[in-house]
Amino acid sequence: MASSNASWSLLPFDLVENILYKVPVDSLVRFKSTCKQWCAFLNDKRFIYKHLELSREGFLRVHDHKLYQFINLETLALSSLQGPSDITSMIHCDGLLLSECRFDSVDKKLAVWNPFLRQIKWIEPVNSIKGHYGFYGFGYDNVSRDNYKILKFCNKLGYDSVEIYEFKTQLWRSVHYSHAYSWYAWFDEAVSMDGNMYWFAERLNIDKSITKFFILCFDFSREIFKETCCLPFITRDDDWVIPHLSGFGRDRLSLLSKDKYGKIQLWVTNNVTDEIVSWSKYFNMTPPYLPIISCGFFRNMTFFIHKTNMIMLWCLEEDIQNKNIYVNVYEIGEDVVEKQVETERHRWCDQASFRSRCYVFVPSLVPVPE
Amino acid sequence: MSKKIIFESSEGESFEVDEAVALECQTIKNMIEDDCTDGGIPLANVNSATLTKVIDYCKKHVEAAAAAEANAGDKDIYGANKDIELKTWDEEFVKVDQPLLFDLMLAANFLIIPGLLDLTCKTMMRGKTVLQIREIFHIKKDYTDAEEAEVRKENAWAFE
Repeated sequence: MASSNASWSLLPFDLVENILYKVPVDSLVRFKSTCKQWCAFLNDKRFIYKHLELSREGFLRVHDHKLYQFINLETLALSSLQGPSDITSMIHCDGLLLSECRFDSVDKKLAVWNPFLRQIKWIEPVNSIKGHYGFYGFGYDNVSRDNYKILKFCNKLGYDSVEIYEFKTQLWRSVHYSHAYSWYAWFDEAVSMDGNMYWFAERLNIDKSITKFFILCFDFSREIFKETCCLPFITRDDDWVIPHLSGFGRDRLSLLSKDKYGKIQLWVTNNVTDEIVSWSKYFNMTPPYLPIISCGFFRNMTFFIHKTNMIMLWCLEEDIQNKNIYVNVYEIGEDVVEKQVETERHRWCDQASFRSRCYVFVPSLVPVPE
Repeated sequence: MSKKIIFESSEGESFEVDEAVALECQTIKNMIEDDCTDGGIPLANVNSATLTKVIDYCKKHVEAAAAAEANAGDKDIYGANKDIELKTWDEEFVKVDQPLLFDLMLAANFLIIPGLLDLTCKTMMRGKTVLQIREIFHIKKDYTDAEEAEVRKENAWAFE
């Protein structure tokens, strides 16, 4: 051996597998045309899901009404992708995206797509909730990893039934849930993790005197709603801002909050499958190091914990004086901004009607379910 | 003085290294634990040029690990080292020609050096075209032109 003439057929197959596990998704898509053996291997479910387990998160940004940009956070390389146009919401699960596209006030459609495989499936939204503002969940039944399901419900639960779509049957079905109280979920702060869905939600007691904030979970295997935990702070005051929710590893949640004094805190939970889930402080972020979060912009942000004591933060910054909008990615530690990358800059008025968004996303070879 | 281990390349050349450096290779670690390293370890499938590079890699990583120990806790949640200097060194280390890179990968696989295997695999596949891949792995195209066009079409963009 030990010569460059060693041929492919002489290589131990586990080495070939090992090599392919380390190759990014965009290259693997191309490598399908190498030979039949590679193509079959790259389409194998076992390979696809193990490759996914070994892949790291990046950011997927809606760049224009139908252009997307993927930011590899290891290399900070940017790649352009295409996708459906006019999306109003998006949820990521296993490298697949569930997007609601609104062409006008009546015509809405659901798309499930994989931007790297360039596959898309259109799904007719369920009729019974048409016209209402629907909330979506996207996950899978843990009996089989590729048994993906979509959940749709109205924001004010307790009045409407819930619809569940299964790719297996290609049908929506209604499930009724009764609740002792009503709650609202916040659509932007939704995370699909390990097959289940988590929202940041607000609960109203009947006399409406007490409001409680909590993390709501939908368990796609058992098809039940449950409260995962309360939030790490109790009261709401005028300057309080909706915190940002994100996954942490494969089984924990993280939360970026800002209090009325402008203090930014990062919180994490223990394993969400534990009997009691609670938050603990991960670190504080001191505003002077980060002008962006000190000057009141906390809305247009997406974050996740990238390394120990280090977060990646995507944000949209407005320079009101010069009428510029900057789209930046930061790597931030407790007291330090390690890196800053400007991914785009445009004039304020250029995209007045379009709101840029960003999602935590892991590229995968998972095919869009038929 | 630390214990020495002797490697012998496929050309029969001897390389003396500290035990700590040899322990970077899982295969050698097992041999040391089984106490069967006396009289040197023959590596019939690793040539001298490759072995020299492998030893350089292990030495550097042993030194870096010792330095990191001094700043304990410098690892990220995925266990990877945060050392930027080491990353830069690794990048320079794999700036070699394709045949040597391939040999390094085979050696890393045989000796079980996960870091080096990861590094060489990633480097070898980075930015490669299908034609280059077929060349590196000596793969014969078994698609007809029509079949290949079909596979490529499946990956063409579905949005217009």
